[in-house]
Amino acid sequence: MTFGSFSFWLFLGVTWILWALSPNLLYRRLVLAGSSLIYYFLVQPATLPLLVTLVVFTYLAGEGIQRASLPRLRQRFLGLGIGMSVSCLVAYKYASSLGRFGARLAELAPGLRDESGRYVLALGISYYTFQAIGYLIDCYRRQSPSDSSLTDYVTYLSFFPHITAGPILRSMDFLPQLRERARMASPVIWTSLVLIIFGLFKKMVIADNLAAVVDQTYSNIAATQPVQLIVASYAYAIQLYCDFSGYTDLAIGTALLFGLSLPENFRWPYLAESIVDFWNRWHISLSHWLRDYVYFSLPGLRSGKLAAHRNLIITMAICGIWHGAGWTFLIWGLYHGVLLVMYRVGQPLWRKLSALPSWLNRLVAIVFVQQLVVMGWVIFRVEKISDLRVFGARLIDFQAYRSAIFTLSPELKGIIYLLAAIWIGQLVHRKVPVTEAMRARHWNPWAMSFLLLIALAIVTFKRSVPVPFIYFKF
Amino acid sequence: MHKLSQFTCAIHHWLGWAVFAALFSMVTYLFYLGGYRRLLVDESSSFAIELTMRILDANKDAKLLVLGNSTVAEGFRASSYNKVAGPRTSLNLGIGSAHFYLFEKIVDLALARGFRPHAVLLVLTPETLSLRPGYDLLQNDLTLMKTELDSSDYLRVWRHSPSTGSYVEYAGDLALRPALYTTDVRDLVTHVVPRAHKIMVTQQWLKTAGNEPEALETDNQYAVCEADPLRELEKSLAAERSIPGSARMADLERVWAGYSVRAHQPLAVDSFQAQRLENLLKYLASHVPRVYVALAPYYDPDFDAYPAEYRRAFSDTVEQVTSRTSVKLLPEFETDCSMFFDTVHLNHAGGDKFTQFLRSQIDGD
Repeated sequence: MTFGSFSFWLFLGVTWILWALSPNLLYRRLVLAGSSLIYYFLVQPATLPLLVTLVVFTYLAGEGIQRASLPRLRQRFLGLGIGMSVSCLVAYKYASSLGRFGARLAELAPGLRDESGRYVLALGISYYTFQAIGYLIDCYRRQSPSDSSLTDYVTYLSFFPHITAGPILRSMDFLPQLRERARMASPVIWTSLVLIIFGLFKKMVIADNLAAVVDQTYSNIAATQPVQLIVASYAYAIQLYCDFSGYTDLAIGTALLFGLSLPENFRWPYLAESIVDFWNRWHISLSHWLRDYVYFSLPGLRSGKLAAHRNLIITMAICGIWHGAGWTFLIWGLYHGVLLVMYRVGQPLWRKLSALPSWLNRLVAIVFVQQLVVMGWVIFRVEKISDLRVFGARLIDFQAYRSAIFTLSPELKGIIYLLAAIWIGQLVHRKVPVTEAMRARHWNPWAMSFLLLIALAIVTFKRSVPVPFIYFKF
Repeated sequence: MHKLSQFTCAIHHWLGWAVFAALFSMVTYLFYLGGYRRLLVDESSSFAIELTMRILDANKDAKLLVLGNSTVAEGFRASSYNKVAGPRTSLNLGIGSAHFYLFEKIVDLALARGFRPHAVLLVLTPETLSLRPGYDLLQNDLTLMKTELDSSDYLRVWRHSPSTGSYVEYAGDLALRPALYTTDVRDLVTHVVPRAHKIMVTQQWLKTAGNEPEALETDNQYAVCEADPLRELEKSLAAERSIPGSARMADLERVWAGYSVRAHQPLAVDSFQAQRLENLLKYLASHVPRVYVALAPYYDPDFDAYPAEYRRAFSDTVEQVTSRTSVKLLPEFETDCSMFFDTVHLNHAGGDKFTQFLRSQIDGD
């Protein structure tokens, strides 16, 4: 029951009616909390006890932190809460990689394995455990609202439009919104509609169709022409962006219907002019969470540049592992960590040496960062490390390029045109932000016609077999 | 100057509404009011339905409607039946990959068009009672029937849905009807010019296509005995491929395609499919004086496609369901390899024999 299914929209509709008909704020908050738990139960009943346990435990830990006056006691509550959250994350996300210990764990933990014995990734565990940890740290730093109820906390951790793939919420931003009475005005509905339709378009038209090419290529790297490997790698970069940012648009759009504003998660990341800029535009809620709760919490931040660089690499390694227990994710995280350090070290030098005009300098920077990011996505996408070696070997098989360039299949040419169009579209978007313009034109007939055509395009070009969102498995 | 600017704004505004209204009307007409029928080509998934409607319109005096999937479309020879029983007595309404929803809807449409058949013959293939992994039987029926769907289908789909959750998904497709046209519209917008030419040819052909349904019968003379043993067919094909211009190649490829897609598939009688069959038979029995059920013949000497256990379970279930619904189950038709052009489709001679066998059973009733 995700955004691509009618069941989700029916569930959303019923919830929205109940929410809109609620006589007061308390009922509205109860509807949101209740519907989020029901949604979770409908999608993955086996791991609902885990969510409920974590909600109750971390809420009580948060209360303990806020009420305790002794610093040591506050620290203990914080340690307990974080320990519980991390234990759940390790057990449910990494159990399949823990060998015998994982098997023993599966006997104890409810819903860790399905009926056929396979490990189940608890729905949204990476997101709600991080949110719980963030909440506890906010309580410790006295930055979280002190009067939040358990009902609101349930919604904060499990709000159904965002639970499966974020964005990761901050308690100080989200919880106060639940105490405000939202008014349903036409601009809000319009903005929500635009976000939902554009989100579906990104996911079902662009990402899912590119997935067909990418999956086929990456399933047999050794037998694939290097030109196709290169095209598929760029296609994956676009697929990943459209898949994840499409989900985020849908989450933000549906949350708006309940008067809730979720944080922005993407800001045209492939137009980043440096790798630091990229991480301020890509999966913003995660990168900022890691910055605020991991990087700033690591020891030695003020002990010099070397320690700061080390902390940066550690933070990015955690970022990699957050995506899964594979070595490829760890290497991807370290790769970005090293890039960030290199940027910090090399940036002043680059500024001195660069004699290019500023517009050309920016264009070169954008293209250069894109290449670095796409290389990172290759590491991220391959199934195992040995695939990277095969990938590299195929890329330097120069003999294969000569024949391949002249025998590009029409489908591959089509993909190249599509990628070029999307790339140009991104640059154009800097000047003419289409979605923002659409959101601003409330009930304008031209905008409505455009949305109708987009909706028809979704129906026409969607794949017959639904493709799950990539970030569901993280 | 200010008035001129206001005037331009108003024109722009109303032009926008006109464009939106035109787009909205086009979508409604094409996908909700059956307008897309005019854009069908012979490769469209709903083409067979449109042809069936034309056949029904042109032959309202027929007494026997024969329903089934491609085994009926290929294997029942109405010309052979009608030669003995009288002109236009039987109509072959077999549609490739059709299932229970489609059969019910076809009969419903026939009755709505003033058709009053004396009998309906439903031919069942063994797969009809089993679920297939990765294949949705009801979804396929809805996609085939999309040009004929109306508001009554919301209720009908409910009866054919295994759960409330799945009903929501099917009903969602009915409500958001363009979702059922994905493949067709995608082909249309990506090949506009060749498709436009095809539309003209197909629509011209459809105008008279229903008048002579017997003329649409295929005339395949190939016998699957030539491809035996089927288990060795892959090797035979490899050898055949090395012979340039092999005359047997196309026939062997077709037999292999039919065999390989069915061999060693997990089959199990699904209780909900059995329930759907029972509901369908009850529905037919309440609208048509006589309903017959026949088991489709097939060539599976090594039990690769249909294991003995499944065959027994399938025939037992059909027997129980027909006895509960007072529908007559016709005896099984004896076959051999000379009657088939692949593992499930009868060739010309086999079709004639099967049809005469059915006629003798129905006439004797």
